[in-house]
Amino acid sequence: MNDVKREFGNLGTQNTANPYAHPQAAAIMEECRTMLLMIPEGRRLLAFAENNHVALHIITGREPAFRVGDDNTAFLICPATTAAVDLHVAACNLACAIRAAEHASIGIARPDYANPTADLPKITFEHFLDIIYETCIIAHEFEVEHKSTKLVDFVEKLGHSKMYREVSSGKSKQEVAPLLAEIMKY
Amino acid sequence: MIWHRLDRDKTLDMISRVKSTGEAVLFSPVTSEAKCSRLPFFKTYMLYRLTNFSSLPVFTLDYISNGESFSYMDGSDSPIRHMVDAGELTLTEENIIAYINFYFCYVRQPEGEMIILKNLAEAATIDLYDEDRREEFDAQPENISLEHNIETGNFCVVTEILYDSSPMEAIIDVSFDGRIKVTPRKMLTLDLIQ
Repeated sequence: MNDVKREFGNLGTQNTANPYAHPQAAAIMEECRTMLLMIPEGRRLLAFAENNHVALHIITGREPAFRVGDDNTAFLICPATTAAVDLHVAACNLACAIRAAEHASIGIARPDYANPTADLPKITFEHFLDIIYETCIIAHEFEVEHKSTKLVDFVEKLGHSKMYREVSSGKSKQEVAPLLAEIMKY
Repeated sequence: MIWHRLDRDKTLDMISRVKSTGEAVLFSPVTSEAKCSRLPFFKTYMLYRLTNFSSLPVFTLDYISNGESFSYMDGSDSPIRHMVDAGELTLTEENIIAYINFYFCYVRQPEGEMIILKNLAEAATIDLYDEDRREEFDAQPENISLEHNIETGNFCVVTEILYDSSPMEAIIDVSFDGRIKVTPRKMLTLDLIQ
């Protein structure tokens, strides 16, 4: 599972001073950035993050995931047991976190679950459509540029194999929207 | 799981106890809710969940706690070790499956995702990203063999699991102090499932 170049070992001891701080945050970030620099969309996203001062943090958590705070701080979540960190998935999550932070600048509204409005379902759908489309783009670029299908497997595990096939054949976000609408019952 | 929502004062108290300076944006008192649920294998500690609705996607942070001391579920087994050291963990034949389900849900394995299947047919349809399914700690498998060594306190469970997306029959050894070792025994093919 962990194909990181370094020997992280199995560092599971919780940092009592800050239990959210990942013991290998710097190393994971470096590995994720290295991976994203291998593909065009990854390079573009990293440049966006740097030019727009998007703060990137790695914290511990039971599920690999990403979150974006309402101040556009991006959090990459990795299990504290570093041997369980899948770097391809982590790099993809980092890319999606940056993309979510990019939404404000490209006219994609942020769902506000704390203050829901009537158009929250539409906003939520468009948010997730963009993120999943972005995930497919990232996976496709790794497949084409580096013959790596690890993220294709990940996308399929998420239940988006149909969408991936359409995106990799060149379909636009709006053309694949009905596939996600069916899954989300939107 | 049956969740009990915390009132506003208890929610704010919980946030004050668990928040960190570096990740302050994740602990917004205005947009967060807290709830707790009993776990049958801990004497007094419960599972607490803090949900922040202002982050994207909605962000949950889970802890094992007695309401005052909170151990963050960071994907390692450290919080469980703390419970064992505190004398909280009590494993019985009645709660061992719930414990294994909890462990698989909260302790990330290097081998990948693991979950006890309710039955073979579930392997074809289960969604590992369905949080409700992952948190069905009380889900009992139809096919199971359970041995409990009264002298050592250890358990040996043989049942069908999903082992990194592959359905397997596996031996799950659980020590008296909650350490788990999974040994895949036999891969289950689609023919067998169907």
